[in-house]
Amino acid sequence: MAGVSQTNVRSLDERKKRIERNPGMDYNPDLFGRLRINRSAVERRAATIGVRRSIKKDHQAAWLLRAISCIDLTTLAGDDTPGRVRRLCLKAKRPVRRDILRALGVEDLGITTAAVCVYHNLIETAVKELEGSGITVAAVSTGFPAGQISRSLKVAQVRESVSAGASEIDIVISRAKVLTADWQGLYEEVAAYREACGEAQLKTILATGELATLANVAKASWVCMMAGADFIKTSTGKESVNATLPVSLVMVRAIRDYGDLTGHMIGYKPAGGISRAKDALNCLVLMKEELGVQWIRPALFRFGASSLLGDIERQLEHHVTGSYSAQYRHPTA
Amino acid sequence: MEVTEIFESLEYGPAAETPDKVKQWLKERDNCLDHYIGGEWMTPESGEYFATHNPANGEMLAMVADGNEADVNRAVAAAADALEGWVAIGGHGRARYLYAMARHIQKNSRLFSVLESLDNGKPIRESRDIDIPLVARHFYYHAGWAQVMRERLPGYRPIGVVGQIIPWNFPMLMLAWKVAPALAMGNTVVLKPAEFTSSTAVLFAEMCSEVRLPAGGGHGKHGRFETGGVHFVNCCTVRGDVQRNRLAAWCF
Repeated sequence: MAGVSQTNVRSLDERKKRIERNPGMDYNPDLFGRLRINRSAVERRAATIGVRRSIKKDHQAAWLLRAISCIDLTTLAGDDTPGRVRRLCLKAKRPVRRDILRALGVEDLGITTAAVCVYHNLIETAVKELEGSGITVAAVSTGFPAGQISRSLKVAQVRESVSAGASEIDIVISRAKVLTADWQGLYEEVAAYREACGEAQLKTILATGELATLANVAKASWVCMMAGADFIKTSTGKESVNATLPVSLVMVRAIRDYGDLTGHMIGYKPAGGISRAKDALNCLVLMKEELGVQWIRPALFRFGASSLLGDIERQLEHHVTGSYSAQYRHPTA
Repeated sequence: MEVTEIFESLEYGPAAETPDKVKQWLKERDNCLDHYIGGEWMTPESGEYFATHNPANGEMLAMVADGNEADVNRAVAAAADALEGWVAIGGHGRARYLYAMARHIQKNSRLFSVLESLDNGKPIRESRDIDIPLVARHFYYHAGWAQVMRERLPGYRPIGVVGQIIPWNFPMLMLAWKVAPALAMGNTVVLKPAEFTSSTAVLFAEMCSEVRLPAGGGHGKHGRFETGGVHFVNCCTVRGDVQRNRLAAWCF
């Protein structure tokens, strides 16, 4: 079994410097069994996020650049080809036009996206294209998006993707286990994936839009972290409801509590439903206020997005030139 | 701050609300805030004014009329004159005025919020998102009560002229808590805002005249707290520092 690409691991090490990897812990239902979520309080707080804070002009530009540095630039389509993935990787390496960056005075920051996220078959192309760039390759796995295949196939899929060179694996959990409260089963499932990942980072996709209640989201978050997730992720992007502020609030609070308990910092990845720059800003506000600015970096925070980058570039161009350009002038791939 | 610096620190930007409109409003009044008595702007008997400052930077905002016993008596007399008419227009009539006041507050929310923040020192976030919206809601609420007064409060009668003294910590909100119910129920009001924060009360009084509130219906009388001597007030409601309120007890 071939090892993980050296380049990718090196940049990963750099990123995870000073963060000890989550070793997980033994399954303990007492930690989350009696969790209750005050839904209306969550919604009330989420509602203030987008409206009561001021991030305009230069501040907005800076925040958006920070957002770019945390994007997992994603393409998960049936008609993905190596050509498209190559173009996506180029975009990841050069996310914003040079003249815009120059006008903002940030050319030297060397901003790239955090990673590129693809299906298994496109891993090799991505790895090759991104060699030496410091941008990691993440692959979705375990029967993404529905996850309705056998355990052995799922584990094998993780192993194959790691062999192919992915340094991050985004798995999907079995929603049925959440909905039938089979928390032990969920723990064992995620633990098996963590083992199959080896050195690769494990992101667990909860598919929150299919979990019915915020309490389920909180409990599933806990179980995944206990089982060794490095990141917890909201959605596949294929559900009807993906990353919303209320769901994000619940998940980052779980991350905070787990961190208080164990000292381990787990990453957060909202995915799907964040196509506008404004949504990204709201998410960053939430992160800043709940977990702190220290959490807003590739090692601990990612946006699972594709067209978001185009909208951010549009906003940056507007800031610099005063005019909005058409969406099609900012293609992703 | 440079974009590169903000990129690292992720600081929030400054609030969008600027003091320009407020500065202009003050300038139009020559930075001078007088008594509003009997539907007219009146200079103080003594001719004295005192300065009110922005607590954030010590900047002087305006000179406020320093009222004395004579001013208070004038105000109370005007309020007493207006009382009969104000009661006579009935609950529905009063409700219409209160509703108009609520709308005016909403329409000028930003001006009120910024002036409140400048005069009192509370963050714009508080005055804009909490104080001023609540003020508008109070006026709507009491407009509702005025409307249904006859059916729902059959035995109740207005007290008459009401003296009201409010503190500096929530200038507009305390004003709303006092003025709205009093006016709704058919009383006329003599209001003394806190000496530290008199400006939004003046803005409110201006708004009352815009709404064409019957003269004498509401009064803003300014002054330092030491002035007392309110003789013919039927009721005095007070909120604020205990030390200062002892002086108010002399009014009864």
